[in-house]
Amino acid sequence: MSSAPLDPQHPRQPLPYLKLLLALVAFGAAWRLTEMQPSALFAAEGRRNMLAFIGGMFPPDLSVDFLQRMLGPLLTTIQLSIAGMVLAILIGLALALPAARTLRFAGVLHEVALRRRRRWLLAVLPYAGARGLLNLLRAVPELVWALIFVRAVGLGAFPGVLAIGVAYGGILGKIYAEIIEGVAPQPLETLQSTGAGKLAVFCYGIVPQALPHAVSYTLYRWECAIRASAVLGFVGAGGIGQEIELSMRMFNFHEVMTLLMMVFGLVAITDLISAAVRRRLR
Amino acid sequence: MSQAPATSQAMSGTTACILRLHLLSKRFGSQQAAVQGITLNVRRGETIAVIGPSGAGKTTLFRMLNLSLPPTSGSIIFAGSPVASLGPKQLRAVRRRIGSIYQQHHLVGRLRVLHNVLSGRLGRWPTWRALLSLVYPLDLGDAAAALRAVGLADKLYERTDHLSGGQQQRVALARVLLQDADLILADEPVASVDPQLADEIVELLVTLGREAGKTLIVSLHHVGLALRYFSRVLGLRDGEITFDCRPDEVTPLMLAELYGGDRVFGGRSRQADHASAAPAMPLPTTCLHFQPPATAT
Ligand SMILES: Nc1ncnc2c1ncn2[C@@H]1O[C@H](COP(=O)(O)OP(=O)(O)OP(=O)(O)O)[C@@H](O)[C@H]1O
Ligand SMILES: [Mg+2]
Repeated sequence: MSSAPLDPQHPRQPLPYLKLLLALVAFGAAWRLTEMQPSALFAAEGRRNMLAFIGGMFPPDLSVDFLQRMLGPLLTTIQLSIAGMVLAILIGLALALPAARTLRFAGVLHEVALRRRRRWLLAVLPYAGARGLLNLLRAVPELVWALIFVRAVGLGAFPGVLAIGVAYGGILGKIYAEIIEGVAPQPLETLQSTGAGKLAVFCYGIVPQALPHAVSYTLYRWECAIRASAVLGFVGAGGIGQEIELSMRMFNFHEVMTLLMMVFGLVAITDLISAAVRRRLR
Repeated sequence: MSQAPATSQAMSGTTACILRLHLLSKRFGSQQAAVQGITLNVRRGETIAVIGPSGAGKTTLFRMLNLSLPPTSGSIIFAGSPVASLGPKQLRAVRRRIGSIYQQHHLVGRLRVLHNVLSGRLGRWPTWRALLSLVYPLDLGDAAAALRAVGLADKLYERTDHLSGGQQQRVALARVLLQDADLILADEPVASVDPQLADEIVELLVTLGREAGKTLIVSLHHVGLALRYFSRVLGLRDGEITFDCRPDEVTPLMLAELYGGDRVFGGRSRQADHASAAPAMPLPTTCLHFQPPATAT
């Protein structure tokens, strides 16, 4: 205590406002570089185009014939998002387990056992590999993944499933790893002190703590996947997105409106489902 | 691999001491050492109370003794084998023989009580049984019996974080009962229960331990309990042992020294002038070399 600084709450910080200043500079630079012109939104020309587009969307096309035709793509979108998420969860879990520091080499589970150098290396290498792979999966946008997979396996829903599975697998893997690392360590120490093995500590200590967060985040990602599958349709990955793109190209804006309402409905339904699941998990 | 013969050798040789500490120290970062130079022999069947002010290093000592925290220096010898040289498998085997109750009980709140109690069996169960038990609880009768012993028979299926603090502490106690360890370490096991219950729990711990021939090391803030139920009392202050006595040898002066002095509120500040201010009390006071009492009450 005696050698500590007088005010330990405020260690020497020369420029407390430096970070705020930096953030402002970054924002200003971004504004300039992206050529932001909010006024363009309200200029005569832009306003006319927008009004034509929005006006064209009303009334939405609710003819039985069109709705019946869209039932297939709607189901495709749902299936695409679910299959994509299943793939993403599998990829995410497979990469999160080696990418979670506390499962490999850090924290209370390794305090005593991991002092020998070779064993430490054996634990760190898979970690670095998994983290690198996760970064790669996330660095490539899902649209680019979709383009790649359309090239590879042809048009249709399957490349969409692959694109969502791979892109979201990277995101889920990172989040899962972070959730696992963020779990309270004291119960793990207690479990370990009974002589429990690694897998038992994982199932008794980490899973119960991590599960609610992991499930709730996965459900949120499912919602994102439904929206994403609409965009992926634009590059030929099937589902509602493909229909939106077609209707846009045909200037059938009232059909676009119907399709957007369908996406809205899907997102709302996933929201209801995830709220219900979260309530049960609490 | 080379430790197995060492253990069996120890069983025949130094059976009297289950635990031997030699100059055990722990320093966190650049802080003053939390535990410094503790040398201690613990005989089988002894019941030891550790008392001392907040921040004395009790929890740190316990975490080293249950092999959760590696010491900065010094050695721990459990049942004849130095734990620093144990491989992962042997480490598990030794941990299984040491049961711990943590100050903040540290249970898994989202699991049902029965799984927290049954986790005392994790050291003995093969992994597949551990996983199966989460779905289809095994040894349910033993868990129920342990809960009955701590007065929580009706909470078997409750979610653990729905229990009160004192009830959770008793769940931790039930878990240790199920673990059936040779050495039981309890860090403040009665911190969050009422005095009446504290008395009962400590008595339960000591009698159960004594009947089953367990060795007990319990830290307590309640000096009365320490003096009443235990065969040996350790005073710990600023990471050092200040006395190591039978309960009837503990004097008020020793307690005053332990808790009083020039302690800054919340801090750790025994320094040179303290020793000169109290020349009557060289540290550590050792009234050791006593025989383990036949009955201590
Ligand atoms: N994980 C840690 N990291 C850094 N310092 C620690 C850590 N654990 C304990 N300490 C420090 O070690 C010292 C001893 O703490 P410890 O928890 O062992 O005391 P204690 O005797 O158990 O106190 P209490 O009676 O309040 O529980 C304290 O000064 C504390 O700040
Ligand atoms: Mg403590």
